[in-house]
Amino acid sequence: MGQSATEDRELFSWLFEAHYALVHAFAERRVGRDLADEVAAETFLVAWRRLEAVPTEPLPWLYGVARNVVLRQLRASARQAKARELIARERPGRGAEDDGEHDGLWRAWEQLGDTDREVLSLTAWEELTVRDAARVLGVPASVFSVRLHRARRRLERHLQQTASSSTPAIPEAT
Amino acid sequence: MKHSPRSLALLRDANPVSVDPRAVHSPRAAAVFEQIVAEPRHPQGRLRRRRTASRPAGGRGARARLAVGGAGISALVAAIIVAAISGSAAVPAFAGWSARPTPALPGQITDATRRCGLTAPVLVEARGPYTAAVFASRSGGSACVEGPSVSFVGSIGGVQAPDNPIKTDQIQTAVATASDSKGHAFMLLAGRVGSAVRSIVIHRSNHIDVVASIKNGWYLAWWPARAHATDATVTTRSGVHDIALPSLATSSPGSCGGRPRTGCAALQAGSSGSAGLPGPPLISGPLAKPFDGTLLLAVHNALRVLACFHPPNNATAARQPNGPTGPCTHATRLTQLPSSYPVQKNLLEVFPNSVWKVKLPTGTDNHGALVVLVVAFGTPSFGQIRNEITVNG
Repeated sequence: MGQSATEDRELFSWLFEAHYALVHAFAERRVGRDLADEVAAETFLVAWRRLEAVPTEPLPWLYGVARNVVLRQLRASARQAKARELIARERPGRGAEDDGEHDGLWRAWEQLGDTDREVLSLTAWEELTVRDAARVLGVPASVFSVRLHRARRRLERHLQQTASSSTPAIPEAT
Repeated sequence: MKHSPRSLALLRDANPVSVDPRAVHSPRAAAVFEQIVAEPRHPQGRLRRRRTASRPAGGRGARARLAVGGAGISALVAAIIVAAISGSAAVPAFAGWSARPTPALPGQITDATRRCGLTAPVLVEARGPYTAAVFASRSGGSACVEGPSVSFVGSIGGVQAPDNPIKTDQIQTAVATASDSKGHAFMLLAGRVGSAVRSIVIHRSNHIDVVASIKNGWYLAWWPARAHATDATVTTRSGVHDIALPSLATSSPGSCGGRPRTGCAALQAGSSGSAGLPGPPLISGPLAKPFDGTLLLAVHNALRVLACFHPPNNATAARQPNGPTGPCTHATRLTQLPSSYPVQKNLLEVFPNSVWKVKLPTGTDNHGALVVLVVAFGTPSFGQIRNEITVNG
């Protein structure tokens, strides 16, 4: 607001340098490596165009923008199949160090709904606090806490079930 | 109902993508940056582009659609790839640095001062993502700069101890040069200031003035050395005064005798120290990319040099802040000059622009992002300077 072009560029330089790797990793976890470049590029384009709207704690805001870009991308029918295929490739525990525990985690993860996966990944992979993760989703922190609590509970149960391989999956609460 | 954190711990452990801090330095990222900032961003321009968004695809219209729905993402990326192929400038050094102090982000000040390793700063300022602080000591003071690529601590030599009052229109100055982890130099001016001094503005060759922070009888300013400082304007209660800034190489000793009309501008580049050392320790480099497991650095005014190595396969450890007492806590200690090193009457005679060879561990992959922490220790009054140097093979 009222800033010179030089100041805009300096502010954006900092925003980009300090957060690009984080936003890129966020995107890669959700749409795979090939599309992550595009998501990060569009996220920072939005940030440049809306520089005045970027809050003093920019990371949750940037994640929120990146999340919207990812959602739009997943909605695009031409890309949906490819994106899902990429997400499947990037799912947890698919590294060379896979063991039984990670295998069980993956089976439990598969049974979770999108809402559960979203709150768990923001907490476990982006390592956000409840307050910041709530900002990403645009919900009050209390709502996020409840969602996280339920998601963890369901993940725990699915893990126990996959360990015993008997009980059917618990449907996700609304 | 309590749940074990085991599920989250498992999930953390299974994180499919870890953050790669080098991503921002990739040619692709640099091209994205240049592509984005090439777009004018004043509101009228935005409105105009939005109107063009409904036009058929192609040319500028294809990019403009991004502002509305984001459906044109591939068009943007195509343009970025072209830019990358044609070669574009990298993200500038000291990205986000501001010529005037900026509001600090929550936690920025406390985090940076903790990393400085000194307590109770008398002055703290932010310039974008960079935080600088001044700490008073019995013999003078120390200055610290912390930021994305910088970790600098140095003593402010040649100024009177804080319990010696200075005249109300005086400034006492120490100047230092240092470099960030990529070898980009910056200059720092700090010192004591009289109570009548209202502002200090440093003029630079690129006509971007640097506004100093003033607080509690101290002031501080620093700037990327890509543009050098020419002079400064000091505003006091009695008026506005211009003072010349000597270059680092030709600066005068740090005594504050006499009383020039602008107050005492005792600018110095390492005036006499307590052990006959010429000034604060300085590290510059790397002078060359590593070859045969050797990193070349120029070190000045140091009694002792410590170099630590962070393995390239542990980016998280490499980015850990280094505490004041254990700068090599998470790293492999490479080399340390013993404290009994035979220092001659003046270390400058021992190390005139000395070149340090830091030997890396055998079998080190020099083609990763190698982070070497180098600490040069000066005399007690001049403290230490720490540089984190990222080396790409």
